[in-house]
Amino acid sequence: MKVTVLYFAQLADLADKPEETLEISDSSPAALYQQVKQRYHFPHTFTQLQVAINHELSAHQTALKDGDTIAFLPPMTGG
Amino acid sequence: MHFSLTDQAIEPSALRKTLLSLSAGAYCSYEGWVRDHNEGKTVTALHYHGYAQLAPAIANTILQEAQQKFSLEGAAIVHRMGPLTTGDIAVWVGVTAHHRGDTFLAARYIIDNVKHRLPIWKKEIYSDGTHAWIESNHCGCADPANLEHHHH
Repeated sequence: MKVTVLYFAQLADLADKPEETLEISDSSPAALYQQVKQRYHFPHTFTQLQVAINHELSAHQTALKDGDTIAFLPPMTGG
Repeated sequence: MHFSLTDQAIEPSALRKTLLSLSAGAYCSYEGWVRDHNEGKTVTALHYHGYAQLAPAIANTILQEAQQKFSLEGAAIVHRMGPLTTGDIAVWVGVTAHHRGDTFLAARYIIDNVKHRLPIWKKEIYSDGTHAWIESNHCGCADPANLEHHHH
């Protein structure tokens, strides 16, 4: 299935893009994160990040579906 | 209840007018300013990156929590995006209520939650040409227990 991954802040800098569409076989966000973490050398562990699926905060173990948009969110530092 | 992200300068006097109400007896606002140093380094500029499709829902949740906890009449959050320079206003919070106590507590509750829960990230640009994405807010936040509202 295909999913769109959104990158923010440090992750966008390291990936050098704001988003990309990836073909994945495993529906778990953790497996997807390990794949992109390895590719772009992201410093965070999966549990340090929050997960948003289709622009809503989601549980880390939520299964992905074809066409979903997922974002891995580093600790927030607004204000 | 109002929330927005903006790439324009924040104008507190204009935002204050949006909260005017004859039934409110108190107004309290907070401005976060871009300061010129952090953890021993000279900061020349900031860059804020936000998740625009997610931030409004989280901001509205924070505003509704504050309204219920502190009996607010009105509340608003405006946060800058993109490049900022020292002295700019990065974030503005305004609240109104019947009584002043609620407004002080609510403004604090809202800004503390904005810092930890709104999907916004800050990059600091330093005078030596380096930059860094900030990974945690060392903001001197109070113990959340102290922000609870007690009626006596």
